[in-house]
Amino acid sequence: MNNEKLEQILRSIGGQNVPADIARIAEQTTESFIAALRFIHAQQSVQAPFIVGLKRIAVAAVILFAFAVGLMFGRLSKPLSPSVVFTEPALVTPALSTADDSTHNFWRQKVVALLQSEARRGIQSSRQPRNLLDIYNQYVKEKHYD
Amino acid sequence: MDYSQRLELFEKLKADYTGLLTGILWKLTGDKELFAEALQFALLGMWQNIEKLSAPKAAGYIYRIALSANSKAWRTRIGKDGQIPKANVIKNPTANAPADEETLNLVRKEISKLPEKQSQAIVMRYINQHDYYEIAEKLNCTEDTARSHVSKALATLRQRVSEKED
Repeated sequence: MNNEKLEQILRSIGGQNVPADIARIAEQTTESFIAALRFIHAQQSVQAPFIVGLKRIAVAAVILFAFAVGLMFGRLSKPLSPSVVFTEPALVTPALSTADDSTHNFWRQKVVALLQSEARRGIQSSRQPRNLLDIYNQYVKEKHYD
Repeated sequence: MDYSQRLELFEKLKADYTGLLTGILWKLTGDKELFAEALQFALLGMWQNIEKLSAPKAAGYIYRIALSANSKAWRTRIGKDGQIPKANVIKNPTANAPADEETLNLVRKEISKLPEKQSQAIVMRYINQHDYYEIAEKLNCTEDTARSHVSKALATLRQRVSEKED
């Protein structure tokens, strides 16, 4: 096939008239296409407010539910118990001796005063109070030198 | 642009372009079913590219849409059985055809397979009988480029039709 023949074929294709029934088919196709577009538009415009309303109701329901759950758990909850329990050290108060011992009276009073002050300090500080036996040994040592 | 505005514009464009689309698509398909299918693709293309069609220099764009729709319709048909049902082909008694229906359909099918610019150029030149100045204006290129598109398209068509005929 040469170029001339091909050009003739192309021109003959171009020279064809559009038959009446083809024009009718074109008209029908176009009208049905536009009708479909209009239908979609109508459907969208009906559905749009309904969908917006539905979304608003759903959001409100979620907020209310979250509020109700928060309120319920808030009312039932208890404060956390502390992991470290502070125990107050017992106040050691030695009983005062009522013995009528004039020799040891002065030193006994000093020991008692020391013990009382140690006991008072022991509540506020974590320092361990001196052992009673050590205090007594100290007292005996000092008495010996006197 | 909202939906109702698009719809209004589409109806206006339909009035402007339906005649041109019908002419091109009928000549390139030559078959009722294929024509209807191609026209649906073309209308869909018009709807999707309505902003481009409403622009001032949109005359060339309708060819692009028409030929793209034609190619899609032919691809769908070739995908099915590759043949045009004889019953649906309408014989045009006024046409002085230099070839039989089979050759005409072969040429139509091969036009649908050409590259976009070449198919547009050949349709403008031989189907709608535009001169090269008009073709260049619609394709947004120089006249020499338009001539080049047409000659390349002719060469490709000649080669493919000759191969199929042999």
